[in-house]
Amino acid sequence: MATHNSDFYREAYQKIAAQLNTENRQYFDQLSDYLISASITYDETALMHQLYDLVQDLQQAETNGETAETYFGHDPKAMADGILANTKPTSKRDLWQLLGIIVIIMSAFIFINTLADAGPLKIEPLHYLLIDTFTVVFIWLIFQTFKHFAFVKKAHIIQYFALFCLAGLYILFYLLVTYKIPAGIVWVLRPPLDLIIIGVILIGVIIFTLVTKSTTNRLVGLLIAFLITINGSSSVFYDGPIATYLRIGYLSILGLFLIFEIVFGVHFLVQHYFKQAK
Amino acid sequence: MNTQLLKGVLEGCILLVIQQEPIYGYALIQKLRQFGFESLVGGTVYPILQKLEKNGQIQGEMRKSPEGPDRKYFEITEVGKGTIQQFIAEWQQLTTNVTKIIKVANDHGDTQ
Repeated sequence: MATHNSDFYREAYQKIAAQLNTENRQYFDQLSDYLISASITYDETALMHQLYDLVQDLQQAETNGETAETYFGHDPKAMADGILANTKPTSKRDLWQLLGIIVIIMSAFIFINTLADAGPLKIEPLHYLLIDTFTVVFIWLIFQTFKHFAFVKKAHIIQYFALFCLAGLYILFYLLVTYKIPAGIVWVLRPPLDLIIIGVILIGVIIFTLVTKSTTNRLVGLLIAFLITINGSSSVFYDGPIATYLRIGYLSILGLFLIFEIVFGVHFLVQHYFKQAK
Repeated sequence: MNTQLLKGVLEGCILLVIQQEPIYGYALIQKLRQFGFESLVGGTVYPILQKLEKNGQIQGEMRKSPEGPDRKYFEITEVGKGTIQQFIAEWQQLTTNVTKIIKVANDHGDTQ
């Protein structure tokens, strides 16, 4: 029945929640933290809509002299679990889409890091697979941590400690996979093939920044393009079988891209800033 | 009243209130409290509303509210109307049976 998207309901309920008194706000924040942490496996729009309905009712109850505890009851977790039990789960399509986005972002990060290595471009599929899989598990663990501590009183310190440990574990795993676990199969892309691949990706990213209408996407795209350009230039400087004219040609293209990225990056930032200022 | 017993009865009562007129969560709880469910809280009602909506017995619609922004009003569906008929029949049967047992128990108590 949702007539708006999840962002609309999120903004709307946050606006109303900000007007609640401290006690009711605290109660509602715990409830919303718990439901939001479940939004990875449940329909996000339905949950946001539910939070919007709940906060509207709570606001009216507050106006009529009730507290969140007298209105919703002493067991918000039981209510939240009851709501979740009857909420539509995330569709398989959305779940795969989310997994796809995580894998693409993480793979892009590994790829950009790889570009900084001297020598021909190396793709290590096992490392990509391990890091991507662990990233998905890591994100799921973060959501579980938030869900677990949502109703625990004064749990902020324990929660931050748990998140800190998780982040440490993630970095440790990343370093272990990158430097200690044998890569197994390695695809080596020698020049000019690596340069061509980097160039094609770069052009793709830049076209995306020009086509997209979202300022955030545009700035992220430009940042990625910038990192690829900077890291990609290391492939040109290594002492490999690459002709001088290719080096000069490639560096010139990278230089042009760099100027383009900086100019447009500044342009978009200024434009965005003025939009916000208005 | 026992919580489990209350929940079973409450589903039918909620459907009956919604059948009278489309209503939103807060107003529904106030109405049920006026009918005597004084200690009723949202924590009991909202999961039931969610369940009834999921089962297609009620449906939600965003409507203009006199109190301010659009609110979700629940209205009864054909499936919900069927459930109400079943609830009323079961409730009448239950009260008849329980009344009989109470009467027999009272008579038995009087003779002792």
